[in-house]
Amino acid sequence: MRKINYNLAGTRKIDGRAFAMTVAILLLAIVLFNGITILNLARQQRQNRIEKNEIRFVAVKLEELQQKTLQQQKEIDVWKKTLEQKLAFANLLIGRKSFSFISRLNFLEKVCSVGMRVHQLSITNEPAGWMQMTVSALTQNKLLGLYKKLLPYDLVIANENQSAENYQANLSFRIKDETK
Amino acid sequence: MVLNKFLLPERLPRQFIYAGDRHCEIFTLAKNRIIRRQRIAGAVLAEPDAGSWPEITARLQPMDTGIILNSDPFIFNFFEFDKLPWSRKLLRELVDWKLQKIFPENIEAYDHQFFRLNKKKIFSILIKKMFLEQVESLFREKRMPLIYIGNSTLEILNRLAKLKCPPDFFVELDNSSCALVFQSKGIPIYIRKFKSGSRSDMAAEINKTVQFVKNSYGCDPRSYFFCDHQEEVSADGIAAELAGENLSCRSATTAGGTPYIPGSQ
Repeated sequence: MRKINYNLAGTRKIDGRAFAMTVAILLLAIVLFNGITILNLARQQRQNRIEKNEIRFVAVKLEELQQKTLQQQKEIDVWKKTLEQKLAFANLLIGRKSFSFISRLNFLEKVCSVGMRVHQLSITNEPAGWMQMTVSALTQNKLLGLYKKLLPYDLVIANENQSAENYQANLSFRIKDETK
Repeated sequence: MVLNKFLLPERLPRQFIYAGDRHCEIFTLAKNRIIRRQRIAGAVLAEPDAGSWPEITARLQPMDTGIILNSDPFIFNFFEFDKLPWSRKLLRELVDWKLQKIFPENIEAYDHQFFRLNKKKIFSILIKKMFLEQVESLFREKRMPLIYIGNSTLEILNRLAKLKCPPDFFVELDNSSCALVFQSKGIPIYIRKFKSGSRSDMAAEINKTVQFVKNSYGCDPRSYFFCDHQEEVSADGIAAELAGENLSCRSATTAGGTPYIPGSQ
């Protein structure tokens, strides 16, 4: 049973010693709780500081990584541009079919019969580019035979000379459809 | 209220007057021990008009004083409710309402205090305001600081509550006055006051009351304490008669020599 405090006196006195003890205990409790709170806060702040440092370190690292990423991106962009240029150039080359000059030479070999000599040859390295050549033949018939073969290829006879041993001509023509 | 008691503990006086039935006793305490005890036979403090006051004050020392009144001027009641409200104001209204139903007199004329015993039970104590005012005015006139007015039965009850194995009831004897307080599971359940001329009548009344409590409260009181305010040991005869009813008297010394004086060991 809880103590029954029954005092009917109109004037009561506070027990100074007990009051002081109670106040002291309360103060001590307050100091203790404050101390614990301060300790906890300090510990938390220390932990926060450590975490902040870690975060700062991670942030610096992240920034470095971002910088690196940016730099790499720039490099990639530069490479991309170079590659695009190279690709464009390659595509240009493919478009121009500059590689077909061998087939043009093969064609020449095919159309020039025995007894003919090609003295000079210039090839424009572009699709359907003009080919100019100086050619000589032992007989005029052979030269005429060549003219016949080259007629479908926009043949232009710049000049034709006749000497004691042979017949010489400066010709230019172009192969429009090189797949043939 | 509880916080007030905790934060502002009241100081107990070092001088107590026990106002008994046709006698007074002045106790002086030092370090929780009674160092002086003066009995004034025939002095009735409970009746301020009786003219005993000058004799009492002549023996009082000018220091903080307390009065312990025996149960005569008090009215005790126990109330049981289904549930007690937490609000003190609501509880007071409820207890006042319950009291008004059973109390024939004007409650305003009484100082009414009540205590929560458990979740359902209330212990109510009434005393006439006029009586308190008269006692306080006597002390005021003598410029004697009266800082405690208590009740001996409640003091004994508080003292018994500290015991590991409290008795089932206790008998407070003071001349012809007798107060019987029954306890169950550590809380008081029934209080009866009566006056009786002879010891054998008193024993018979105690026995009847024990039987009543046994039948009405479903408990079987067996052990009891005597708290005797008489100068000579007078309870032995009653104890002998009660022993025949299977009631065993335990030594009240375990509760201290004077359990009705607060602060004494």
